[in-house]
Amino acid sequence: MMKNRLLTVAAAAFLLLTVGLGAAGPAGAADCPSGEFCAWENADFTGQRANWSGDDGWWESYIADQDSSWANHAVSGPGIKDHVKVYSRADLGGHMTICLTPGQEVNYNGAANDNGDSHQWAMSC
Amino acid sequence: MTTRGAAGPPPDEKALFGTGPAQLSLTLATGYTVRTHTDGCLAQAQRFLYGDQARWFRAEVTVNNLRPEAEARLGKDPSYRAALARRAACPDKDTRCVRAGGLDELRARLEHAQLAEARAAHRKEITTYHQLRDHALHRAADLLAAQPTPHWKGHDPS
Repeated sequence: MMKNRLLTVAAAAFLLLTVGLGAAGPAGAADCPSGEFCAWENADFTGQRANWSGDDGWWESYIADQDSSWANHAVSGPGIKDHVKVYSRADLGGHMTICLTPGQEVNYNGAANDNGDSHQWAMSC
Repeated sequence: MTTRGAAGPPPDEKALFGTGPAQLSLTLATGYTVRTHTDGCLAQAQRFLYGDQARWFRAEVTVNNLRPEAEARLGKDPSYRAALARRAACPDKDTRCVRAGGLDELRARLEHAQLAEARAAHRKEITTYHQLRDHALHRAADLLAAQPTPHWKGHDPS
């Protein structure tokens, strides 16, 4: 009886510990300035970050085809283009790979990361 | 414009977009898993407007990525891949070769078909999207109607 209770307490303590660790999580919040779109070299919003308040038809080499996580932190408002569209080639060429609205983020995509070359802001996708 | 947003200093990033792991997520046919937070002012505003943040999120993200989904399907189409190969085999600046390959026409035709397929596959999400937008419109209108009329100091009402 005593042993069972001890095991239960130990199990509960272990669970609390793992849940606590789990809450820290692999992907924390994306640190991206208000008003901007961000792309990171690595998954989970880590590594070198590129951030833009405007459009960019030619991503710099450190992020072009190196992007592995993304976040849209635009602030919506009347007439504000707050949707961001990412393209697989420069000058909005190739194809649109993803469209994100404010608050949306992607921490990893195994099949389709390292593919962005340009982006633009728009009122819709 | 240095900051994309309404006039004035940008709102605090954490207050607006939430902190910690993003609780809502949806994996698209393109392979991307889009996430968003349920804490923060933006999430709160969405709950107010759309009634159900999770339902709105799933519908909106799906609808917003119909075109990328169609593009992804295109990439798997054998006739499209063959046309891509023909295009890649053309010598530099050989416009006749490029035209003969027919990539542009094929792409235009297939994209149209793939987008129609994507829309058909996500008919439910598209309907939900429009319903919730309607809901939000009414909520916003009611909220604005309830606002007190601003009084401008020192100005005569015209």
